[in-house]
Amino acid sequence: MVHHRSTLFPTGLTVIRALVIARWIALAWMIAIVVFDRAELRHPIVAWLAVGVTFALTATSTWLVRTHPARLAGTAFVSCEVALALGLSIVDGYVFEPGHVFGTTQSLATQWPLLAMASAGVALGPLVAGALGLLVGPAEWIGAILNGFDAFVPRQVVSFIATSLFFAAVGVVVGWLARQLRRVEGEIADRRARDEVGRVLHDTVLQTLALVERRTSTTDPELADAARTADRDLRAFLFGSTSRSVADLESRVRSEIERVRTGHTTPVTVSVLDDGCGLDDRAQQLVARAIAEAVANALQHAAATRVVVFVETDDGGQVFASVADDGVGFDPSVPRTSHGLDRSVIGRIEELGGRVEITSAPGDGTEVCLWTGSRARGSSA
Amino acid sequence: MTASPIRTVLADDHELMRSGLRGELGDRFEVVGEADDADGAIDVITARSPDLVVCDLHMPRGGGLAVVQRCATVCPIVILTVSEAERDLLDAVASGAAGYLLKTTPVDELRDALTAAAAGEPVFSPSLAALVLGEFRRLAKAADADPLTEREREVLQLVARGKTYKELGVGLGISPRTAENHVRNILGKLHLSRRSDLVRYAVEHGLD
Repeated sequence: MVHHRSTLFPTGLTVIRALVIARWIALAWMIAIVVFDRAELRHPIVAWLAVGVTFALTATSTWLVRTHPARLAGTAFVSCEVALALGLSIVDGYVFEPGHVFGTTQSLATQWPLLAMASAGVALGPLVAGALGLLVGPAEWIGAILNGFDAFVPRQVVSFIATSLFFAAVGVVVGWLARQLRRVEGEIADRRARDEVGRVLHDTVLQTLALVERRTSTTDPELADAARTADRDLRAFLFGSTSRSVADLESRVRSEIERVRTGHTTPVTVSVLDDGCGLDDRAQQLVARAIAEAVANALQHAAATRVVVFVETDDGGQVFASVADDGVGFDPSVPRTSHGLDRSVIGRIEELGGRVEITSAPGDGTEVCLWTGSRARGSSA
Repeated sequence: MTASPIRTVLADDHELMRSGLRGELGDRFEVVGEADDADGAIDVITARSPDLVVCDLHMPRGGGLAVVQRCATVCPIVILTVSEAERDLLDAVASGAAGYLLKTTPVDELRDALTAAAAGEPVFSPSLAALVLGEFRRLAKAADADPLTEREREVLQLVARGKTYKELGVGLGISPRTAENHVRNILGKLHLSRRSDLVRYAVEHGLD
């Protein structure tokens, strides 16, 4: 069951359906060869028996694709098809008059080795399909011997080796492509499932939490706080760093801010416009930490009703960030000993060769602006 | 403003949310109609022609976007949402919503914002400004021409940084009224750009 599920990814199913049509074309081609080259047949009954067996397999595949498509990618069917392809390659030498195999006439096997390798690649993976492909050369070799050729004529042996390598390559390439497609489609399916879960949680749980938060903020602060925490954790999961596989500037900034927000009720809104950050991982982390420290400082000291964080990148990939609060503010001209910004924010940004500007006045809130890189002034006003 | 309360329609599929809002809005607002889906909201708005609509972004059978598309000309519509990470939030604003508020907005702020919206001012939160700024950057990259003026971009960035109209007016040496007009123009351009996107889409896909 697990095996069937994994083999029948959507594109794999499409390939398997296409192969059914290809089989009918190959069968028609084979019949045409037997009819047109009938004068050269020394064992016509065997040739028609081969056609019959091929028809049986083609019809079976048509029936299976309607009823149990997964079985077409099953080991049993694929083994039969590979066996048929090899068998036809051998029988080809037996049913025709001597000289046929290296003559100009078509082989009875027509496209069957190719079809078998495509099936095997999709169903059994690149290694097995490649190994099976190697068998096609020896099968043709046996066919050639049955057709009266000398077994060890070097040029012919080289030709069979080339045949083996060709079909092995077909098997490996098809198998590899199928594996890649299966992986990609698996990821897409996982992503869809996750988005769906996210959407449902979003529409129901977040709504309810927002409601609890609103309704209890004055009557039951503890419950409101619990709802806020649950809300935040769920958001972090749905939109935050845990749902991204690659850490980018936005997820770093958000997760650092989430860390310092814990225990504070002041709303912090975060907007990040990342049009391509040119900083390396370490520098991005430093910037994110610096921003978060500025937020922490506002939450601890500003007595603000809200904190607004805005982060953007410029054309050169440098970062501008602003952390603004509407709190008590301070007089920047008065020397201060510990408002926490010096080391935690300015230190980090100066380490990156950037600069920090703090605008504040008593009673008028505080804005911390930071720029990475040495540009004189970012895109701020 | 104190003379007559703001006649308001609430549209939200959560009955609890509506009753909560109704309680919180206070004397300044009079709830003249409620709906729990887009069709219901459109009917109520058409029937009552309120001063203000507060509408959930996601409702069964069409959410806030549908309501905005049909009724944005009747009165200001403020979208309520639980998160800013919504794809159709910007669509709703671009289609003419007066702005949006998070469902977790504190009561006082909610009342003030809704009063301003009813008076025709855009409810332009910092995060909406950032969202719009990002959208225009995307448009500028795609069209190779920035629809915003330098001043409008400055205004947007300052709003995104949490400045009030008054503060950013001081920063740019313009009056709060001028700052607000810039915001209105930006929203108009957003509206237009979205429509031209649609036109382009229609042309590319052979729709008439």
